[in-house]
Amino acid sequence: MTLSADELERYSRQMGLPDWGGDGQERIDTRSAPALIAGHDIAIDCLDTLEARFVLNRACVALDIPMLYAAVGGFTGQLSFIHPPTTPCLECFIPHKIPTEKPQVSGCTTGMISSLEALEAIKYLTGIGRTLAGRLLIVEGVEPRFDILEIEKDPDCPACGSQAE
Amino acid sequence: MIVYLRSGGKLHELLKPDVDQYTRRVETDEGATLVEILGELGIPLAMVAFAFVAGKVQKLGYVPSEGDVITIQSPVAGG
Repeated sequence: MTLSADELERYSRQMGLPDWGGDGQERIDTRSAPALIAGHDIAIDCLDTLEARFVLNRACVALDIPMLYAAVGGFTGQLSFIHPPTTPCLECFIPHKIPTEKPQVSGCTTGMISSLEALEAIKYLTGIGRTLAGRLLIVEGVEPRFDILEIEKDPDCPACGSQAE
Repeated sequence: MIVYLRSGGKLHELLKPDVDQYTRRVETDEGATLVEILGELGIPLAMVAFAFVAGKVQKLGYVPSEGDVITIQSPVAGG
């Protein structure tokens, strides 16, 4: 199916994110992250880079706030509940220095992972069921395949281990 | 020693599966780390975030055992 110029413009406008500086928008970095999450019960990651997630992870570790990690790339999605020292943190299983390309994501993968992320938040906040604490859900949409994996704390983790920076 | 590498994500093309659509049979030396195995296959380490074997996440220093099925996972960053 080919979209007309008018349709393309209309869809692009609907999909486009608002410019920075709107109400409720704040860039996350090492300075802003602690203030953004302080006093909250949980941080729900809806970020678009690994670097920003590492910043959020470290702020959550420092302030003892649980974090829901959710990321997508292509038709792949990952989800975990992170709350050291009970669970590993993000840097326990993803190397901090790993480079990432600008991701291409499919909307259906994002929709699925974000719905499961919301479910994790509801379970944690209401105390029902079992969260993905210490476990990582990986969805490979193309196969399709769902794996729930055990993740272990890294004693040498630079964020939550004995050598924490 | 024979191990099986698999990937359903964007590493799939680099892996060149030969067992099924997602899995490649690899003959390697006992004691070789995953880093060494990936190097022999020409898969850039920067494209692999971690691996998992038998339901457990493993880092790239993992030393596989005979018959392991190792799923390699590229970093995913979108949201």
